[in-house]
Amino acid sequence: MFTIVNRCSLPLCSLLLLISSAAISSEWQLSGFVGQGFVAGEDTQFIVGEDSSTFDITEAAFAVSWKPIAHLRFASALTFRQWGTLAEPDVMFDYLFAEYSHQVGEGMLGIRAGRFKNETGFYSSTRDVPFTRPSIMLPQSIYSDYFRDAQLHIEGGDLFGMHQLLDGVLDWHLSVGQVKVTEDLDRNVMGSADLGEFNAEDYYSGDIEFQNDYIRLGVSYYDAEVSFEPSVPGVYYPGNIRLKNWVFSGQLRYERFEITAEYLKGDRVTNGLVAPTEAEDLFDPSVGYYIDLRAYLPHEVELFVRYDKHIDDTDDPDGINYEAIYGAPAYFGYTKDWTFGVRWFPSNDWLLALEYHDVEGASWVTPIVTPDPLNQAKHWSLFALQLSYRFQW
Amino acid sequence: MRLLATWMLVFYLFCAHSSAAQVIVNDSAIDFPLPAQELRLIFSMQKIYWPDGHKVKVFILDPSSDLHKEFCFQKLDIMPYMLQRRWDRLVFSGTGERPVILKSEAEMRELISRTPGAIGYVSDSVSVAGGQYVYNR
Repeated sequence: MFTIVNRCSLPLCSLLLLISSAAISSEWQLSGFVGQGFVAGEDTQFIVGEDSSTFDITEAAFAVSWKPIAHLRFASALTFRQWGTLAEPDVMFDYLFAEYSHQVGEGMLGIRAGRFKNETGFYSSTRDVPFTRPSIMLPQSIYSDYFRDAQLHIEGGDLFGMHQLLDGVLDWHLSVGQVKVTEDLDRNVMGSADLGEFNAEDYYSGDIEFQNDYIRLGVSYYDAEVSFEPSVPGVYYPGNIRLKNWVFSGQLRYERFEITAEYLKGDRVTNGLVAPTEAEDLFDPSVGYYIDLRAYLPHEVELFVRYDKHIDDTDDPDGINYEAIYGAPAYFGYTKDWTFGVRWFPSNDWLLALEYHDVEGASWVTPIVTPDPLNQAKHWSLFALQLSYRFQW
Repeated sequence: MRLLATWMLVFYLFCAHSSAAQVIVNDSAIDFPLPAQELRLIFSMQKIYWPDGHKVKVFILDPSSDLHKEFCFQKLDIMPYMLQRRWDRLVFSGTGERPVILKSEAEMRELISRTPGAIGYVSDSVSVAGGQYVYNR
C-alpha cells in the first residue's frame, strides 16, 4: 500500500534541486578502477618471464557513458594494461560505440556500432576488471590469455536485447565484425613479433543468457579468424587460424554458496603457418571446462576452489601423438589447474585478491607454437596477488 | 534468563526494523506495486522500463553508506557487494549503467519527486515530501 506524506518546501531543497538537476539532465556517468598486482611462478616463465616473478601486472580503466537524448547512448572506456610477458604496457579504447535502444514490452531491443566487447561465457566482456572477474587469472580453458587478443575487442555491429522472463532476465547478442589485434598476439602465439604479423579477419558471434536470483545460464558461439603474414621468409608460411567455439555456462547460488561451471567445445582450424597454404587444413578439436566452488563469507570475504582442465586435441587427450609429431613433451597437449583463492573487500571500493595455482601440463602456456620444455616443467605453480581500487561518479 | 534473551532479541529486531530504509517512488509510478524480486531487478539495473513505458530512473546513496547497506539487506535481501558486481558488469563491459549516486537523503527526496519514473530510498525516520510515495511491501 502507498502512503502520501505532506510536502516539505525548503529553500535549501530548491538549491540542491538546481545543482542536482544540472548533473542529472546531462546524463553523464563516469567510472573507473586501478589495479596493481604481483605474480610469482615456479618452474615456468608464463606471465613472469625469466625473473620468476613480476610486478608488471597493472590494469586501469576510465569509463564514460553519455545519453544526450532519449534512446541514444555513447559509451567508451580508455584502458591501460600490462600483464607480465603476456601484454606489453599499452593504452587503448576498450570499447567505443554508439547505441540506439528502444522499449519492447518491459524489456528492450537495441543496436550498437563501433568497438565493443566479446560476450562469450560469463566473464569475457569484463575479464580485465578485477571487480567483476572471479579470480586474477581466469580459467584458461575458456578464457585463454594467449588468444585473448584474437577474440576480445570486436569492431562492427551488435544487435542485442534484454527481456523480462519468468522471475529473471534474458539477454542476448548477435555480433558481426572484425577482432582488434595487437602485437601481443604475435608474441604469445609465435614467440616473437619479428617473425610476422597477425591481422583481423571476420568475426561472428551469438550469445544468450538467463539470470535470476539463484541461477545463471548461458550459451555462446563465436567464429573468429586471424590471418598471419610472415615477415621473415622460410620460417613460417602465410596462413590463418580460425576458432569456432561453443561455450555453455551455468551458475547456481544457494544462500552463501555458489557453484559455477563452464564448458567449451570447439575447433581450431589452421591453414598455412606451419605448412604451405596448399596443404590441407589442420583441425584441432579442443575441449575445456572448469568447476568453481565459492563461499561468500561475512565481512565481504570470498573463498574459492576451482578445477580447470583443457585438452588441446580431443583425439589426443594425453598429448602422446603431439609428442610423436612435434617432439615437444606430451604435457604441452593438456593442462589441469587447481586454483585456491581468497578475495576480500576491506571497503566498498577496495579489493584485495590472492590465489595459488597448482598446475600440471602446459597446453595454454605461451608461446604456443614454440614450446620451451627447458623452462616449462610438467608440474608448476603460480601465486598471484592484486590490490584494486574502484571509483564511480 | 532465556526469556530475557528472547525478549532482547525481539526488541533488537523491532528496533532494527524500525530504522530500516523505505523505498520511495515518483508518483508517476504508483500503479505498480513491486515484489522484492522486481525491486532486485530494478536496483540491479536489469528492469529498465515501467509497464507504462516510463524509463526507470534508479537513485541510490553512496554504496558505502550505512543506509545503502541496510537497504540492500532489508529490502532487496542481497549483499551490497553482490549488487555492485551486477552494475560493474554492465558499466565495465559498456553495455549499461549503474544507478545515479546521490549525496544526501534531501537530494534523494527532491530528485525523486521531480523525476518521472524515479525510484530510490530514504531512512524510515524521514518524512517524505509530495510528488513521491512511500512504497511498503
